[in-house]
Amino acid sequence: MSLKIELQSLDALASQLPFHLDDTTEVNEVYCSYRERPHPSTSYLIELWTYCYIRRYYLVKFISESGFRSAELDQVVERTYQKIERSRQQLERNDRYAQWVSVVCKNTYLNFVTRRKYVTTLDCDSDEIVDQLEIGISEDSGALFLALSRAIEKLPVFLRSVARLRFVEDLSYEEISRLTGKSIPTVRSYVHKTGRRFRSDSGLVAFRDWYE
Amino acid sequence: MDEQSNIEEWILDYCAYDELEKQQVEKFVEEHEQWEPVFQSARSWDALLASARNLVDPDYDEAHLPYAVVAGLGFWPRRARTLQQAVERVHRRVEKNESLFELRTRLKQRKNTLESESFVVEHFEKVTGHQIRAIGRREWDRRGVSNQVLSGGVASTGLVFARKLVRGFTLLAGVYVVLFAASTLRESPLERMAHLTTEDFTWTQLGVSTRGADPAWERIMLNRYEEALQLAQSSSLSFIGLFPTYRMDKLRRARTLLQRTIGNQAKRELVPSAAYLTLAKLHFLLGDRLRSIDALREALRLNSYSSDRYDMDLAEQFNEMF
Repeated sequence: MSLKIELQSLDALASQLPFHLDDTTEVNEVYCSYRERPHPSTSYLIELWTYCYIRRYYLVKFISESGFRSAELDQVVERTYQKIERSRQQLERNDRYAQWVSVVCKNTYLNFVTRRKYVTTLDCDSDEIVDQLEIGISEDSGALFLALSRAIEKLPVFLRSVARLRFVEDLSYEEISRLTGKSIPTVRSYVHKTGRRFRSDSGLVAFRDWYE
Repeated sequence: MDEQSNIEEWILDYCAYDELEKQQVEKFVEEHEQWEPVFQSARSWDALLASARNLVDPDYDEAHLPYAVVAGLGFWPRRARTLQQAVERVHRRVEKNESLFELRTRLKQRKNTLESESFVVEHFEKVTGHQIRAIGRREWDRRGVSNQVLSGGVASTGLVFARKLVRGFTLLAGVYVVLFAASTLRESPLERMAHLTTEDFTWTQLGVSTRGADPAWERIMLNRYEEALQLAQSSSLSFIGLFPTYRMDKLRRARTLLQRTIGNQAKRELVPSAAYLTLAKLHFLLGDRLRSIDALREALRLNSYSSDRYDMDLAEQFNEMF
């Protein structure tokens, strides 16, 4: 079976990547490497990731409501890809490539929905239509979660479980103390140590601009 | 200065506080505006970390559902397993909620419709100008990215194959070393020395002397020795030098033949000392240690007449054994 026949969906196309679409740390590393020493293979990898990321971004947006057409998906993906291709050379921080692509997608999407003539299909349920101008929280949640998970994995072993319970499961000091058998002051101390380490974690720092 | 630094740290730790502590920080900053920039930084961290854990928060399931549907349940690299688990948690929660379950069904239908009406590979090739090709995912694990991408690019197929070959060879060599060590250490030094080696089968190449008396007889004796040694050699069941064992019946026949050949030599002094050494080994392997020692002594005695380099080596070996 040829490779083309096997790759019928975005999932399948993205599975050609050696890392997950949301693995921004890997993407940024590959991009830095590509900019330092351009190579056709890394170029291909960057373009494959960029295309897949853009397409998935819009797929998430397009399935969130029923007013979009598939032809528009191809158009907006192409437009965004070209925009990124044109502007890539001007990117100041190569180690923020993945985050920059995400911002370009957001801006292009905003332009797209404000300019397009909204199409309402007969089966469209108006209650489902999301606010088109609202920047969704969904499309970057995977990348953020993965960055947080990586930051936890990088912690010393003794901090990891407390960090996970506090920063992923959002448990109180008392609950963590009960679950881990550590005293509350110890848990508190571990949580503070973790927070300090997070502030210097490159994977998390790369997202920080979005929240300032 | 220390106090300033402590306050700064106290504010920056905002993301780790519970609600009551956060309120204390907020109140403090309201009263001390000079700390506002630090507080803004602390709040941005708090917002970032809160967003990062949203995916596992059931309150946000509806918002994350489009992402969870598109993220799919197909290929997940090892390093994205935590994300995979988080997405699976969303799906599990959705299955217990009727309205979210219905919403997920509709989202999946839309996704399928959009994907069925579009040809993603053709579009990728048209937009990027690249022909789709296999990358070789396994070579692109974390180490692969560091080694290959950061050093300048994806490995070519040939290089990938060569690396696989080297990796396979290294693995095999490692396994062999471990097995060899196990094979060696299970035996005492004496037992290890008693094993038949190439030298036990090749000493006839030095010839068997009858001191020039009868070349035809020399030839016959040589053939008999070689026959005995071939039999001894064929009794060995060792595979690539690991865990050597012997077929006892062949070993016995080899010993008998070797003993007979030695006995047929007109003078004991004409028997090569190596023949006695091999005989000693055969005795030892067959469990007859007393005869083995006798044969070794004879080899030593004969060796004292010889200045041959090979025999000198044997003498050293004997001395080591005793």
